[in-house]
Amino acid sequence: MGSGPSAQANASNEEQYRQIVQEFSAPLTRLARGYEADPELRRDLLQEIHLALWMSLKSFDGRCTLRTWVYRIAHNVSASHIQRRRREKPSGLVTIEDLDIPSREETAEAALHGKEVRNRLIDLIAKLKPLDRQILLLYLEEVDAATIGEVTGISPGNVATKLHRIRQVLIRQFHPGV
Amino acid sequence: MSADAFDTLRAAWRSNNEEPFTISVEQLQARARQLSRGIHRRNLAEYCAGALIAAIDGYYFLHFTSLLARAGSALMLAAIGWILLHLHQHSATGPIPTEALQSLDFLTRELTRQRDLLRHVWNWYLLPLIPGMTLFLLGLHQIKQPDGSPLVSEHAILHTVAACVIGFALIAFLNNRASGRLQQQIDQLHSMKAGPDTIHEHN
Repeated sequence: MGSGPSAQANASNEEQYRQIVQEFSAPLTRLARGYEADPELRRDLLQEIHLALWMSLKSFDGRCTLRTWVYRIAHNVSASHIQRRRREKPSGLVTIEDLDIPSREETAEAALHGKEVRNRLIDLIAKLKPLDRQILLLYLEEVDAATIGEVTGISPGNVATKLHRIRQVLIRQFHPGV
Repeated sequence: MSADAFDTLRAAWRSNNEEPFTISVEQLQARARQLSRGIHRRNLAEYCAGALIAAIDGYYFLHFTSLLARAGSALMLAAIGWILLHLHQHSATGPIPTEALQSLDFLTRELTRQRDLLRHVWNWYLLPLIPGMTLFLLGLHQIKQPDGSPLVSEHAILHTVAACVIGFALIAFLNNRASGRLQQQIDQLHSMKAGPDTIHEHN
């Protein structure tokens, strides 16, 4: 009892899940911050992400890296969360191309104060539609362009264009000193 | 803005001191069971709603002796069964997406599902109700009251038909408009796979 293929698969899934927790719990916590401002709802979202990851591991076949797998699941769960929230409380989200950010006049020191930077980034992220939100969040996690393409399914050219636009927006947002 | 400055921004983002969220495997197993019970309850609620409608319709079937009214009741019951089945099959795939689809495919699939529900509203919602409703009304018109007048007058039938036509047309119009908007978003998502010159607004 407990030593059959099913038990072995469960043990393997648990091992993989523990690996995910060890490696990705901090990035996933930040990712959830980019999708949900309300702490209670964010906790629910994180539970959903972890549950989806845990349930999905049965079908993980290694055709992509675990990192790509984790980000795909996490972003899809988060996109569903946004859709549900928008049905309850409609809000206008825009693409990175349509984002209108006025230039900031503060000094570099002020603009680069850690907490202030995060708050501004969160404000920026909250305005974006799911796909652009994903790209910005992945960019902030230093995920390379090729992996962003694998996670999102966007062509390399479009990823490059989006990243270029993101950098432009960041320049405007954190101008002039950075 | 230098590459270092972008790195500084990203470092600031990652320096978030919020406690990383963790959950034990045992808690996840409990949540999975809870989720499964939730799905079971949702299905049960749908079956109960179906049973309630069937009971009301069954009452009409037994109460009215007119063959047309009975046939209308039976057809309406079949139509309602079809609508519930369609809703059950085409509603969200589940409370939590557990497939590792690429985001574009995931968003496209969700939008396509919503678009199809709206676009084909005639096929799965409005048209199936019409034969049953028509026969039922005609059946009620056939039934005579003690004074010889029909149970449902021609005027009442006309008013009901007019209300249905207006209501159905309004539903179809609004759904068509909403499905058009969803189609635009789907097209924009498709274009994201095509090339850098085709980026448009997307969902």
